[in-house]
Amino acid sequence: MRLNNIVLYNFRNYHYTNIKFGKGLNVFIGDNAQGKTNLIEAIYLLSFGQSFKSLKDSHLIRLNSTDARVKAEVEKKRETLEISLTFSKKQKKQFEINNIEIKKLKDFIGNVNVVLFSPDDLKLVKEGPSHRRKFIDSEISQVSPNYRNKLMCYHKILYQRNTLLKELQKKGRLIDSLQIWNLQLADYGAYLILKRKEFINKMVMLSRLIHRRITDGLEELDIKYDSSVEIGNLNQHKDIKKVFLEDLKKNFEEEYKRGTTIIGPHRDDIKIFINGTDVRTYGSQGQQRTAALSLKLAEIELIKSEVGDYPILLLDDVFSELDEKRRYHLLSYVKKIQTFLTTTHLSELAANLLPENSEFFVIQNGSIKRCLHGTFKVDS
Amino acid sequence: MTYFDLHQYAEPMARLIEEFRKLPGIGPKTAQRLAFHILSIPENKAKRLAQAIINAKQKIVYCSVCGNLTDTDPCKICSAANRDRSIICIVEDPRDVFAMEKTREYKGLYHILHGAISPMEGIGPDDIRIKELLERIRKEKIKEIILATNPNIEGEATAMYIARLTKPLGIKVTRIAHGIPVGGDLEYTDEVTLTKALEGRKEI
Repeated sequence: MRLNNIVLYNFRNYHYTNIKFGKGLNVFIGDNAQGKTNLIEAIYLLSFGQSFKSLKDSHLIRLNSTDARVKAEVEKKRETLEISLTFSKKQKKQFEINNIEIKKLKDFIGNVNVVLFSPDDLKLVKEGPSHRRKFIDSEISQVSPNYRNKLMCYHKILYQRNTLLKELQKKGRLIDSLQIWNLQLADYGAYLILKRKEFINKMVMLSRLIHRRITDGLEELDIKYDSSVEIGNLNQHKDIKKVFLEDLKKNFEEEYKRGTTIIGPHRDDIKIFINGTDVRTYGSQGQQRTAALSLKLAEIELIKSEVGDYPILLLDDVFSELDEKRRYHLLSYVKKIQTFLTTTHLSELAANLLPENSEFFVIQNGSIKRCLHGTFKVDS
Repeated sequence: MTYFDLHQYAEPMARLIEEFRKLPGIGPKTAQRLAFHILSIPENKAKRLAQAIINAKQKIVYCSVCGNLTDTDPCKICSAANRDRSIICIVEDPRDVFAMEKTREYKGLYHILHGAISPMEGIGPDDIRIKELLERIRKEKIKEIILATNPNIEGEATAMYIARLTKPLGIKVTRIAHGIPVGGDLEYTDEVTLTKALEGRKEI
C-alpha cells in the first residue's frame, strides 16, 4: 500500500501543507522541533485514528485554531482510498473514507496498515513486560476485532475481581461470589493466552529468518510466551481454562493478602532468547536492539501475510541508534515498501545504501519542501 | 452570564424549570420548553398532571413476590390464574418485564433482581433480590428458571452465581441465547455478536 499525498491543515505546527510523496523511500531532514514527528504522527493517524503521542485529540490542533484536518490519498492493491480526519475542539473527531463518514473508530482502524518504528520500539526487549504485552495486544487487535473486544472484557472482569478481593478483607461473606469472577476471568483469559500463543508462533518463524540475515547467521532468535498460568504445552481453550482455575485456587491465599489478581494474561510476558540465553537479562545493548529490530521487521511480514499487501513503514529517528550493519538491513527492507524516514543529520544515512528512487524533503518550522532530485537543495 | 441563567425568571417559574432539569434526558432547553408549556395550558390540565405524578408515586409499590412495579400486591402477573406457575424468568429491572411481556410468548412468572452483581459499584449478592428468589424456589413448586440478565459482564456473572446456587436444588436452569437479531442481515452483524451466535449454535 502506498501513500500518494497528504494535506495537513492546522495540524500541530503545520498551518497548511500539501505534499506528494515518492513510491519508495521518503527522507525528511530537519532540526529538532521543526515538525518531523508531527508528520509521522499524521500518517500514523490514517491507520489508527488515535495518536501514539498524546491521548488528547485537542493536542493535535494548532495553537489558536479550532479544528485540524488530515487528508490523504492511499493507493491499495485493488482500490484507492481518500481518507480524511477532522479534529475539532467542539465536536467529536470525524473520519471519512471516500467521502463516506465512518461513525465508529473500530470500523476506521485497519483500512490502512502502518508499522511505526520509533526509538521507543528499540527498547521493546529491554523494558518491562507491559511494553511487550502492549506490543502483542495491539498487533493482534489490528487483525482480530474479537480479540480487542475480549481484551476489553477481560480488563473489566479483572477490575471487578480486584475490587472484590479488596472487599473480602472487610466482608468475608462475599467469598461465595468469588467463583463467578474466577470462571469469567479464566474463560476470557484462556482465550487471550491462546491467541497470543498463536501469534507468537507465527512471529517466531518470521523473526528467526530475519534475525539470521541481520546477524550473518551467527545468532539464533527464539521467542516464547511466558505465562503466569502454568499452561505448559496446552493448546485447547478448555484445558487452559481448567489450569487457570486451578492456579487461581492455589494462589488464593496470596491474592487475598495482596487484594489483587496475581496470575493471568495481564501478568504474562514474552521471553526473547538469542542462542538460548535470555536477551533481556544477559544480552548486550546491541543484541537487544537487534532483537527488537527483528521483531518489528517480522511484524511487517506478518501484516503482509494477513492483509495481502505490505504496510507503510514509518521510521522516526531510529537511525541514530543503530550501527551501520543494522541500518543496511533496515534499508534493504525499504526497497520493498514505501517508507517515511526522519533524521536530523544526513551523515547518518550512508548515501550509497539508499535506494535509487529515494526522495528528499527538508522540514523547517512547519513547512515541508521537496529537494531537487538527487541533491539536498530545496526545489523552489 | 452562564448559558442558562435561572435568575431572569420569576421564582415559581425558575423552580419549575429546575425540577424538570433533574429528570433524566432533560437538558436546560427542554426544561425551559416544558415549563413554558405548562404555563400555557389550562389550570385543570396542569392539576391533572400533578395529580397523576402524586398518584403514581403513592400507589405504585414493589410486588412482595416478584419485585415488579404494581398497584396491587401481589401484582397482576403473580396473581393471574392462567400463568404457568412452575417457571420463573429472572431479570435485572422492571423494564425488562415489559420487554418480555411484549413477546406474548412467555406465560410463566417473573423475578426482578433490581440490579446485577458488580463489586466496583459495591453491589454484592446480598444487595439484589437473590435471597427472595431462593425463598420462592423453596416454597413454590418451581420446575425451571430462565436467567434473562443482560448479556454483559455483570449480567453474566449474576446469571452464573444464581445458576450455581439453584442447580443443586434439582430444577432446570436455563440462560437466554445471545446472537443475531431476527430480520437482520448476517453481513451487517458485528463480529463479536456473530462469534457469540456461532458459539451458541444448535443442531436442526
